[in-house]
Amino acid sequence: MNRTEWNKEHIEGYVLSQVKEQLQLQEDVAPDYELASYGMDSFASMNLVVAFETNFNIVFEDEELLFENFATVQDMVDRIYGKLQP
Amino acid sequence: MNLAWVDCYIDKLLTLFPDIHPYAAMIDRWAFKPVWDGKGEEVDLSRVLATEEQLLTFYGIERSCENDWIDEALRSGHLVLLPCDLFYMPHAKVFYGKEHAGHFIVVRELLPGGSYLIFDDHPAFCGRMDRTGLKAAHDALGLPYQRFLPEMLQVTDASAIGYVSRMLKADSFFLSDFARRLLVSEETTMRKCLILKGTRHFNHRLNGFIRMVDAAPLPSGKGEAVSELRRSIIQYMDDWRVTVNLATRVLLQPELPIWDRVQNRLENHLESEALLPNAAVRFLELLHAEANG
Repeated sequence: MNRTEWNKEHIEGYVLSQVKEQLQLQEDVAPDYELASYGMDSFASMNLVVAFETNFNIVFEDEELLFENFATVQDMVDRIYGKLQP
Repeated sequence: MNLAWVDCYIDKLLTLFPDIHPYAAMIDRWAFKPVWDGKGEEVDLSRVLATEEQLLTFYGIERSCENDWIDEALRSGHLVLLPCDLFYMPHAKVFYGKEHAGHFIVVRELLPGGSYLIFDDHPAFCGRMDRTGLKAAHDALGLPYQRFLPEMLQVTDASAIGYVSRMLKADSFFLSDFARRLLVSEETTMRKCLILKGTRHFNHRLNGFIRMVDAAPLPSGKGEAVSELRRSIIQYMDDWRVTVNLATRVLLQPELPIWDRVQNRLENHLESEALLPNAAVRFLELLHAEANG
Protein backbone atom coordinates (compact mmCIF):
# COMPACT_ATOMS: atom_id res chain seq x y z
CA MET A 1 0.00 0.00 0.00
CA ASN A 2 1.27 3.47 -0.92
CA ARG A 3 2.07 5.64 2.11
CA THR A 4 -0.55 8.22 1.12
CA GLU A 5 -3.22 5.51 1.00
CA TRP A 6 -3.06 4.67 4.69
CA ASN A 7 -6.04 6.11 6.51
CA LYS A 8 -6.48 6.16 10.26
CA GLU A 9 -8.68 3.08 10.23
CA HIS A 10 -6.04 1.01 8.42
CA ILE A 11 -3.32 2.32 10.72
CA GLU A 12 -5.37 1.55 13.81
CA GLY A 13 -5.98 -2.00 12.63
CA TYR A 14 -2.26 -2.59 12.17
CA VAL A 15 -1.29 -0.87 15.42
CA LEU A 16 -3.85 -2.86 17.38
CA SER A 17 -2.65 -6.16 15.94
CA GLN A 18 0.97 -5.33 16.82
CA VAL A 19 0.07 -4.20 20.34
CA LYS A 20 -1.91 -7.37 20.98
CA GLU A 21 0.96 -9.49 19.70
CA GLN A 22 3.55 -7.61 21.73
CA LEU A 23 1.53 -7.79 24.95
CA GLN A 24 0.06 -11.24 24.23
CA LEU A 25 -3.49 -9.97 24.58
CA GLN A 26 -6.55 -11.85 23.40
CA GLU A 27 -9.04 -9.02 23.83
CA ASP A 28 -9.26 -5.74 21.91
CA VAL A 29 -7.97 -2.57 23.53
CA ALA A 30 -9.82 0.76 23.61
CA PRO A 31 -7.87 3.37 21.61
CA ASP A 32 -7.48 5.72 24.56
CA TYR A 33 -6.67 3.06 27.17
CA GLU A 34 -3.28 3.39 28.87
CA LEU A 35 -1.26 0.40 27.71
CA ALA A 36 0.96 0.51 30.78
CA SER A 37 -1.83 -1.22 32.67
CA TYR A 38 -1.47 -4.14 30.24
CA GLY A 39 2.24 -4.36 30.96
CA MET A 40 3.54 -2.11 28.19
CA ASP A 41 6.94 -0.66 29.04
CA SER A 42 9.70 1.20 27.21
CA PHE A 43 11.28 -2.00 25.91
CA ALA A 44 8.00 -3.23 24.43
CA SER A 45 7.34 0.18 22.93
CA MET A 46 10.75 0.08 21.18
CA ASN A 47 9.75 -3.20 19.59
CA LEU A 48 6.62 -1.48 18.32
CA VAL A 49 8.57 1.51 17.03
CA VAL A 50 10.74 -0.80 14.95
CA ALA A 51 7.66 -2.59 13.59
CA PHE A 52 5.93 0.70 12.70
CA GLU A 53 8.99 2.13 10.97
CA THR A 54 9.41 -1.01 8.91
CA ASN A 55 5.76 -1.41 7.98
CA PHE A 56 4.99 2.24 7.20
CA ASN A 57 8.44 3.18 5.88
CA ILE A 58 8.74 6.09 8.30
CA VAL A 59 11.43 7.21 10.76
CA PHE A 60 10.89 8.44 14.30
CA GLU A 61 13.31 11.11 15.54
CA ASP A 62 15.43 10.28 18.58
CA GLU A 63 13.56 12.80 20.72
CA GLU A 64 10.28 11.04 19.93
CA LEU A 65 11.46 7.76 21.47
CA LEU A 66 9.71 8.26 24.78
CA PHE A 67 7.22 5.82 26.19
CA GLU A 68 4.48 8.40 26.73
CA ASN A 69 4.48 9.19 23.00
CA PHE A 70 3.26 5.62 22.51
CA ALA A 71 1.21 5.29 25.69
CA THR A 72 -2.12 4.45 23.97
CA VAL A 73 -3.18 2.99 20.64
CA GLN A 74 -4.55 6.43 19.74
CA ASP A 75 -1.19 8.08 20.49
CA MET A 76 0.51 5.62 18.16
CA VAL A 77 -2.05 6.05 15.38
CA ASP A 78 -1.86 9.85 15.54
CA ARG A 79 1.93 9.84 15.51
CA ILE A 80 2.14 7.44 12.57
CA TYR A 81 -0.58 9.29 10.67
CA GLY A 82 1.29 12.56 11.18
CA LYS A 83 4.44 11.01 9.70
CA LEU A 84 2.57 9.80 6.64
CA GLN A 85 1.23 13.22 5.70
CA PRO A 86 3.05 14.92 2.80
CA MET B 1 20.44 -16.55 40.00
CA ASN B 2 21.95 -13.42 38.50
CA LEU B 3 19.02 -11.45 37.16
CA ALA B 4 17.83 -7.89 36.72
CA TRP B 5 15.63 -6.24 39.33
CA VAL B 6 12.77 -4.13 38.11
CA ASP B 7 11.81 -2.69 41.42
CA CYS B 8 12.77 -0.39 44.17
CA TYR B 9 11.06 -1.75 47.19
CA ILE B 10 10.80 1.58 48.93
CA ASP B 11 7.74 1.89 46.66
CA LYS B 12 6.23 -1.10 48.41
CA LEU B 13 7.19 0.31 51.77
CA LEU B 14 5.10 3.33 50.90
CA THR B 15 2.21 0.99 50.24
CA LEU B 16 2.60 -0.61 53.63
CA PHE B 17 3.20 2.66 55.45
CA PRO B 18 1.39 5.37 53.47
CA ASP B 19 2.18 7.97 56.11
CA ILE B 20 5.86 7.91 55.25
CA HIS B 21 6.55 11.28 53.80
CA PRO B 22 7.31 11.22 50.06
CA TYR B 23 10.53 13.18 50.56
CA ALA B 24 12.12 10.49 52.63
CA ALA B 25 10.60 7.55 50.83
CA MET B 26 11.92 8.65 47.46
CA ILE B 27 15.39 9.75 48.38
CA ASP B 28 17.00 6.34 48.04
CA ARG B 29 16.56 6.61 44.28
CA TRP B 30 19.61 8.81 44.19
CA ALA B 31 21.70 5.89 45.32
CA PHE B 32 20.91 3.67 42.33
CA LYS B 33 24.15 2.54 40.71
CA PRO B 34 24.45 0.35 37.60
CA VAL B 35 27.55 -1.90 37.61
CA TRP B 36 28.92 -4.59 35.37
CA ASP B 37 31.72 -7.12 35.30
CA GLY B 38 32.81 -10.11 33.23
CA LYS B 39 29.79 -12.13 34.34
CA GLY B 40 26.86 -9.78 33.94
CA GLU B 41 25.16 -6.47 34.60
CA GLU B 42 23.31 -5.53 37.74
CA VAL B 43 22.36 -2.71 39.98
CA ASP B 44 24.56 -2.14 43.00
CA LEU B 45 22.02 -1.76 45.79
CA SER B 46 24.49 -1.28 48.65
CA ARG B 47 23.83 2.44 49.02
CA VAL B 48 20.11 1.93 48.55
CA LEU B 49 20.11 -0.62 51.35
CA ALA B 50 22.19 1.61 53.63
CA THR B 51 19.78 4.48 53.01
CA GLU B 52 16.84 2.23 53.64
CA GLU B 53 18.23 1.13 57.01
CA GLN B 54 18.49 4.77 58.04
CA LEU B 55 14.96 5.37 56.82
CA LEU B 56 13.54 2.48 58.83
CA THR B 57 15.39 3.57 61.96
CA PHE B 58 14.30 7.16 61.49
CA TYR B 59 10.64 6.20 61.24
CA GLY B 60 10.76 3.51 63.89
CA ILE B 61 9.72 0.73 61.53
CA GLU B 62 10.52 -2.78 62.73
CA ARG B 63 11.42 -5.30 60.09
CA SER B 64 12.69 -8.87 60.14
CA CYS B 65 13.82 -11.08 57.26
CA GLU B 66 12.36 -14.59 57.33
CA ASN B 67 13.09 -17.74 55.39
CA ASP B 68 10.01 -19.81 56.19
CA TRP B 69 6.76 -19.46 54.25
CA ILE B 70 4.49 -16.47 54.89
CA ASP B 71 1.28 -17.99 56.30
CA GLU B 72 2.16 -17.58 59.98
CA ALA B 73 3.27 -13.97 59.47
CA LEU B 74 -0.01 -13.09 57.73
CA ARG B 75 -2.09 -14.85 60.41
CA SER B 76 -0.21 -12.81 63.04
CA GLY B 77 -1.27 -9.58 61.37
CA HIS B 78 2.18 -8.74 60.02
CA LEU B 79 2.77 -7.10 56.66
CA VAL B 80 4.77 -9.06 54.10
CA LEU B 81 7.04 -7.89 51.29
CA LEU B 82 7.71 -10.94 49.13
CA PRO B 83 10.56 -11.08 46.60
CA CYS B 84 9.32 -12.83 43.46
CA ASP B 85 10.53 -13.69 39.97
CA LEU B 86 8.15 -11.97 37.54
CA PHE B 87 8.61 -14.89 35.15
CA TYR B 88 6.03 -16.70 37.30
CA MET B 89 3.63 -13.79 37.92
CA PRO B 90 0.65 -13.75 35.51
CA HIS B 91 -0.17 -10.09 36.15
CA ALA B 92 3.26 -9.04 34.83
CA LYS B 93 2.42 -9.58 31.18
CA VAL B 94 5.75 -8.34 29.82
CA PHE B 95 7.73 -10.84 31.91
CA TYR B 96 5.34 -13.73 32.53
CA GLY B 97 6.77 -16.86 30.94
CA LYS B 98 9.33 -14.79 28.99
CA GLU B 99 11.89 -12.95 31.11
CA HIS B 100 13.26 -13.44 34.62
CA ALA B 101 13.29 -10.36 36.82
CA GLY B 102 13.36 -9.80 40.56
CA HIS B 103 10.49 -7.83 42.03
CA PHE B 104 8.83 -7.18 45.37
CA ILE B 105 5.09 -7.53 45.87
CA VAL B 106 2.97 -6.87 48.92
CA VAL B 107 1.03 -9.86 50.23
CA ARG B 108 -2.00 -8.44 51.98
CA GLU B 109 -3.99 -11.41 53.16
CA LEU B 110 -4.21 -15.17 53.37
CA LEU B 111 -7.60 -15.96 51.80
CA PRO B 112 -9.95 -18.82 52.66
CA GLY B 113 -8.94 -21.82 50.58
CA GLY B 114 -5.23 -21.05 50.82
CA SER B 115 -4.76 -18.43 48.11
CA TYR B 116 -3.38 -14.92 48.69
CA LEU B 117 -4.44 -11.35 48.12
CA ILE B 118 -1.45 -9.61 46.56
CA PHE B 119 -0.75 -6.03 45.57
CA ASP B 120 1.70 -4.65 43.05
CA ASP B 121 2.05 -1.01 42.07
CA HIS B 122 3.87 -1.54 38.78
CA PRO B 123 2.59 -3.45 36.87
CA ALA B 124 -0.54 -2.41 38.74
CA PHE B 125 -2.45 -5.34 40.18
CA CYS B 126 -4.52 -6.12 43.21
CA GLY B 127 -6.05 -9.56 43.29
CA ARG B 128 -5.82 -13.22 44.10
CA MET B 129 -2.90 -15.52 43.41
CA ASP B 130 -2.85 -19.21 44.18
CA ARG B 131 -0.35 -20.71 46.57
CA THR B 132 1.48 -22.88 44.04
CA GLY B 133 2.16 -19.98 41.68
CA LEU B 134 3.17 -17.54 44.40
CA LYS B 135 5.48 -20.02 46.06
CA ALA B 136 7.14 -20.90 42.73
CA ALA B 137 7.74 -17.19 42.03
CA HIS B 138 9.25 -16.73 45.48
CA ASP B 139 11.32 -19.95 45.55
CA ALA B 140 12.89 -19.09 42.18
CA LEU B 141 14.83 -16.28 43.84
CA GLY B 142 15.84 -18.05 47.04
CA LEU B 143 15.67 -14.81 49.04
CA PRO B 144 14.04 -14.20 52.43
CA TYR B 145 10.83 -12.21 52.64
CA GLN B 146 10.48 -9.14 54.81
CA ARG B 147 8.00 -9.02 57.65
CA PHE B 148 6.88 -5.73 59.17
CA LEU B 149 5.08 -4.77 62.33
CA PRO B 150 2.10 -2.68 61.29
CA GLU B 151 2.90 0.36 63.41
CA MET B 152 5.05 3.39 62.90
CA LEU B 153 5.85 6.77 64.39
CA GLN B 154 4.11 9.93 63.31
CA VAL B 155 6.00 11.76 60.57
CA THR B 156 5.86 15.53 60.35
CA ASP B 157 6.89 17.86 57.52
CA ALA B 158 9.71 19.16 59.69
CA SER B 159 11.13 15.70 60.43
CA ALA B 160 10.85 14.68 56.78
CA ILE B 161 12.62 17.83 55.58
CA GLY B 162 15.35 17.23 58.12
CA TYR B 163 15.81 13.72 56.88
CA VAL B 164 15.87 14.58 53.21
CA SER B 165 18.30 17.42 53.80
CA ARG B 166 20.80 15.06 55.35
CA MET B 167 20.34 12.46 52.65
CA LEU B 168 20.65 14.93 49.78
CA LYS B 169 23.85 16.30 51.25
CA ALA B 170 25.26 12.81 51.73
CA ASP B 171 24.42 11.67 48.22
CA SER B 172 26.25 12.55 45.06
CA PHE B 173 25.06 12.16 41.57
CA PHE B 174 26.73 9.37 39.66
CA LEU B 175 25.10 9.10 36.24
CA SER B 176 27.74 11.20 34.48
CA ASP B 177 30.39 8.97 35.94
CA PHE B 178 28.46 5.97 34.69
CA ALA B 179 28.35 7.45 31.17
CA ARG B 180 32.07 8.18 31.30
CA ARG B 181 32.99 4.67 32.43
CA LEU B 182 30.77 3.11 29.80
CA LEU B 183 32.28 5.21 27.01
CA VAL B 184 35.86 4.32 27.88
CA SER B 185 35.27 0.66 28.70
CA GLU B 186 36.50 -1.99 26.30
CA GLU B 187 33.22 -3.89 26.21
CA THR B 188 31.64 -4.66 22.86
CA THR B 189 29.00 -2.29 21.54
CA MET B 190 26.27 -4.85 22.15
CA ARG B 191 27.39 -5.36 25.74
CA LYS B 192 27.43 -1.61 26.32
CA CYS B 193 23.89 -1.41 24.98
CA LEU B 194 22.82 -4.24 27.29
CA ILE B 195 24.32 -2.38 30.24
CA LEU B 196 22.53 0.79 29.20
CA LYS B 197 19.26 -1.06 28.79
CA GLY B 198 19.67 -2.17 32.40
CA THR B 199 19.24 1.46 33.47
CA ARG B 200 15.83 1.81 31.83
CA HIS B 201 14.03 2.03 35.16
CA PHE B 202 16.12 4.98 36.23
CA ASN B 203 13.28 7.31 35.28
CA HIS B 204 11.21 5.86 38.13
CA ARG B 205 13.83 7.18 40.48
CA LEU B 206 13.88 10.64 38.99
CA ASN B 207 10.10 10.62 38.99
CA GLY B 208 10.43 10.26 42.75
CA PHE B 209 12.29 13.55 42.84
CA ILE B 210 9.50 15.17 40.82
CA ARG B 211 7.04 13.91 43.43
CA MET B 212 9.18 15.42 46.15
CA VAL B 213 9.14 18.76 44.37
CA ASP B 214 5.38 18.62 43.85
CA ALA B 215 4.69 17.71 47.47
CA ALA B 216 7.02 20.24 49.04
CA PRO B 217 5.52 22.90 51.31
CA LEU B 218 7.52 25.64 49.61
CA PRO B 219 7.23 29.34 50.38
CA SER B 220 4.72 31.36 48.42
CA GLY B 221 6.16 33.34 45.52
CA LYS B 222 8.63 30.56 44.66
CA GLY B 223 6.47 29.05 41.93
CA GLU B 224 8.75 30.11 39.10
CA ALA B 225 11.86 28.65 40.75
CA VAL B 226 10.05 25.37 41.37
CA SER B 227 8.81 25.20 37.78
CA GLU B 228 12.34 25.75 36.54
CA LEU B 229 13.63 22.99 38.79
CA ARG B 230 10.90 20.67 37.60
CA ARG B 231 11.74 21.39 33.96
CA SER B 232 15.44 20.67 34.61
CA ILE B 233 14.67 17.27 36.09
CA ILE B 234 12.20 16.29 33.36
CA GLN B 235 14.60 17.36 30.62
CA TYR B 236 17.42 15.35 32.18
CA MET B 237 15.19 12.36 32.68
CA ASP B 238 13.88 12.44 29.10
CA ASP B 239 17.38 12.81 27.65
CA TRP B 240 18.53 9.73 29.49
CA ARG B 241 15.46 7.72 28.55
CA VAL B 242 15.97 8.49 24.87
CA THR B 243 19.59 7.33 25.18
CA VAL B 244 18.47 4.08 26.78
CA ASN B 245 15.78 3.56 24.17
CA LEU B 246 18.28 4.14 21.40
CA ALA B 247 20.55 1.55 22.96
CA THR B 248 17.57 -0.82 23.01
CA ARG B 249 17.17 -0.19 19.29
CA VAL B 250 20.79 -1.19 18.72
CA LEU B 251 19.97 -4.51 20.39
CA LEU B 252 16.86 -4.92 18.25
CA GLN B 253 18.47 -3.79 15.00
CA PRO B 254 22.23 -4.43 15.26
CA GLU B 255 22.63 -3.92 11.51
CA LEU B 256 21.70 -0.22 11.75
CA PRO B 257 24.43 2.38 12.54
CA ILE B 258 22.75 3.70 15.70
CA TRP B 259 25.62 3.28 18.20
CA ASP B 260 27.25 6.56 17.09
CA ARG B 261 24.08 8.38 18.10
CA VAL B 262 24.09 6.65 21.48
CA GLN B 263 27.73 7.59 21.96
CA ASN B 264 27.04 11.24 21.13
CA ARG B 265 24.21 11.30 23.63
CA LEU B 266 26.44 9.83 26.35
CA GLU B 267 29.00 12.54 25.67
CA ASN B 268 26.26 15.16 26.02
CA HIS B 269 25.37 13.67 29.38
CA LEU B 270 28.92 14.30 30.55
CA GLU B 271 28.48 17.98 29.72
CA SER B 272 25.28 18.23 31.73
CA GLU B 273 26.94 16.74 34.81
CA ALA B 274 26.09 19.62 37.13
CA LEU B 275 22.47 19.99 36.07
CA LEU B 276 20.79 17.73 38.60
CA PRO B 277 23.11 18.31 41.55
CA ASN B 278 22.53 22.03 41.06
CA ALA B 279 18.80 21.44 40.89
CA ALA B 280 18.99 19.44 44.12
CA VAL B 281 20.96 22.20 45.85
CA ARG B 282 18.40 24.76 44.73
CA PHE B 283 15.59 22.55 46.02
CA LEU B 284 17.31 22.23 49.38
CA GLU B 285 17.70 26.00 49.63
CA LEU B 286 13.97 26.37 49.09
CA LEU B 287 13.20 23.74 51.71
CA HIS B 288 15.52 25.40 54.21
CA ALA B 289 13.96 28.78 53.50
CA GLU B 290 10.57 27.31 54.38
CA ALA B 291 11.83 25.42 57.44
CA ASN B 292 13.58 28.51 58.81
CA GLY B 293 10.86 30.96 57.82
